[in-house]
Amino acid sequence: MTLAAAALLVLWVVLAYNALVKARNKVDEAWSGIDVQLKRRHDLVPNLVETVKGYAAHERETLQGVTEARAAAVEASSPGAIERAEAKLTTALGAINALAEAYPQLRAAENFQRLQAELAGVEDEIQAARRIYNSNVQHYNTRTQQFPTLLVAGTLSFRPREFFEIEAPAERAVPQVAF
Amino acid sequence: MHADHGQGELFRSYLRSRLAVFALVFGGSAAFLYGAWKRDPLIMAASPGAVVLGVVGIAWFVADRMAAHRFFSGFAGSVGLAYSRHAELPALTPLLGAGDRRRLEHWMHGRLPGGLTGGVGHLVWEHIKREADDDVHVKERNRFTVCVVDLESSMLRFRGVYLRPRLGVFAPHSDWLKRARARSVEMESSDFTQRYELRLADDQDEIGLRRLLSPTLVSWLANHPLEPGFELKAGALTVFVPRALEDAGNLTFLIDATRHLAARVLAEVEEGSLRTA
Repeated sequence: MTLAAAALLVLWVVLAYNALVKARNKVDEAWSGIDVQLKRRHDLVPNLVETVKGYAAHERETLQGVTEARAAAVEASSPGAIERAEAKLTTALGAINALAEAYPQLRAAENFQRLQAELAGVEDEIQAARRIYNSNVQHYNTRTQQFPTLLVAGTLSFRPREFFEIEAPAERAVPQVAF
Repeated sequence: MHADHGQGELFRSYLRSRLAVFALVFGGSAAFLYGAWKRDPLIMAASPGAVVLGVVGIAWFVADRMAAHRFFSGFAGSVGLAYSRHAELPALTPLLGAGDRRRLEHWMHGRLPGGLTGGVGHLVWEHIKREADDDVHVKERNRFTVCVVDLESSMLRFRGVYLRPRLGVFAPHSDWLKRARARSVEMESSDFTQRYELRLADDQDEIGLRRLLSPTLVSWLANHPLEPGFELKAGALTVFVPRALEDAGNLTFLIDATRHLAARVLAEVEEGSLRTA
């Protein structure tokens, strides 16, 4: 009887451990999905900067801001640092859009339009990858915090993962309405 | 609008028809007289009731079929498609060849909204058993709603991608992919994996699949209210839900889902050819 109970307990621990490993792997896999899309985004930025240079070379400050923000985003490694760096890059890219408003020739350039469309596509993919990642993190974190799985998670060092938010600080700000 | 729309009205009109009245009067009288001839009070009392029930049942059945016919032909007309009550399609994808015999009902075909050539309707597939005396016994009958479009340009790139809602332990229908040579693949999303089962034909490369199922598409599928499955093979895209859709809203929704998926497939085919070039 005791032997059967012990066997059942061991079986449960194995199943719980495997379920946690599977959930954690899904989180890692989803993170690599974000990583791929971010890399695609980073690869597009130099082309965009070069195109803008051709029409608005004297807007050096803006272009330098984008280049620096991209470099910081490429360097970032932890989810938190990536989140902050990507938010800065999004803001910097917003400045390029504002530039396009001031330079009609740039706005009309085929190459610029193509890059903008490609960038918009990549942004969509990043948002979708982020949703998938966050949903997986929620699933994994819930498992690690639920009783009795938390006993296995705590003992075998399954740490909760951070959610990933990527948006420009401006998008987070509450709009001020004056009457 | 729904396939049952107007069914009650049709039923009442059929019951008031001359044919139904004749059937009730003559059938009931004949049944009563037959009971009297047999000198059986039970037949005299029950058989006219059975005739009434039979006539009512037939009227209900015909009204149901006619209402469905009116609805589907009307819906087909409203989206610029031709309507056929029955049709057949070659087994281009595993679902279209599911079971021992199959047929398409309420088939609406032509140029679908969005410019794709194809059709939408109900696929009825059955597992049958032939008895020794050649009688056919239907063991299982399933009715799916399918939307099939021609994507010939995808033929070389996609050799077999099969995505379907998970069957679960108590599946209401048998596994039509059992005989397909395919392997299982998991995507990175838990929601998607919980909802869907993804299989690839043995000669389908996985990189092509991962490109097709971009995060946007995975997220879209994982959250789509219809939970549509799809099969992509031999230049045909079959989008399906494992139940009969009988209302204009959901049929339109399925056509839209097909258009969305087809656009994604064609975009990937185009990107693929650019990469190759």
